[in-house]
Amino acid sequence: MSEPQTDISLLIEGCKKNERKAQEALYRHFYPFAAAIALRYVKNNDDMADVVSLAFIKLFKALPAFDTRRGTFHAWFKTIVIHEALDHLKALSKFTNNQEVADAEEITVDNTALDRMSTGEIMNMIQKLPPATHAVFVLYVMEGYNHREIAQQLNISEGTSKWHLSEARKSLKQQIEQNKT
Amino acid sequence: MAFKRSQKIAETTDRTKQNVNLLPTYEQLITEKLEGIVIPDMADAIWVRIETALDVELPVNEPPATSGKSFLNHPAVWLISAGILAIIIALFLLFKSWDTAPAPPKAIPQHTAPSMQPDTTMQQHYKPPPHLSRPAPAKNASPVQIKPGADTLLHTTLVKAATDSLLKPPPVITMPPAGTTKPVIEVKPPKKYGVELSDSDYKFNVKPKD
Repeated sequence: MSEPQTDISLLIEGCKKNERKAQEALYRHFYPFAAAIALRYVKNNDDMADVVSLAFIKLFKALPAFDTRRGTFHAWFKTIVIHEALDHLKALSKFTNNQEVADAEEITVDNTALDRMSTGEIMNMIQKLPPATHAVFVLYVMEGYNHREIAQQLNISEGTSKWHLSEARKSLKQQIEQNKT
Repeated sequence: MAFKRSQKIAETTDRTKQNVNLLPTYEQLITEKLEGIVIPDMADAIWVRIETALDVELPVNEPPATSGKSFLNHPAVWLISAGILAIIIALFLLFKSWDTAPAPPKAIPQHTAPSMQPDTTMQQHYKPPPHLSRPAPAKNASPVQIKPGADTLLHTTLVKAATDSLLKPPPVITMPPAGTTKPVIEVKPPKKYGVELSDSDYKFNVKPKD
């Protein structure tokens, strides 16, 4: 367990010295990790490639200032990828505070129908959501952010974040019901 | 910026599972399904894009950008800067001194050599025979001027050769004793080794008959 950690530390040190081989090795090690995060936010593989490449470039430029005592590398890099993906979504649609709700609506969905769906079908279902709704749903459900944190990240109000979550749940329920039939 | 974000996400990473436990069942199911998403095989293509961008923004021969504060605090930076400044000042002063040095005169003054008078001391009492006339040296001879130029050496050599030939003393001519009709020209023969024969050896001494 300690050996891969040492390898990553060596790669990080090489990247800090701007060694291209170390940068490539670190990229190939973390590519699946970064691509999996990026795919939750984007609509296709080309957009994923944009987000991943920009995230790694940002990582290599900021890496000399990275201090392991202030956080783990995984968490730090995950944040870089998420912010790059959110920037991509913001470029597609302006996030506004048009609608607000006090609390996100709780809904019930037939889990049996959802269980029968493949990963690709669920991914397509999420990708059909509007950009802001898509972002709020992934941040809340998959990343574990609360509405206050989402509001800060997307520069919207907490009520708007809750409204987007409610809209995402309604839309997903509708699509799951359609898939059931 | 990134550190703040990383601290925040580090706090929330472990909280994700706790939050999932609070989610509706269908959302937990969506999360589990998306964990097994298939990653497209685009690693090589994406790396080419990253490498191209890095070649522009972070060239390999240059070290990664560091904060300007730590760079300026390094004592070696100041020492190197002072050295470079000293070299620049020295070069500036050196070039300046070259510029202000006295320029060589554009017009080289003409050197005049004194007029060469042939030595006539040996000819003061000489009266050439009427049929042997020798041109006397000009009294109003003008000084020889050495013209500066690319062929100065050649010119002076030629002038020297000409003056030497003019100043070469003529052969010594002894005047015949008074009463003789034919002058005897005595020519000094070159010095020879061995037995020397003089003109007297060839003269006949006739003893008068007693």
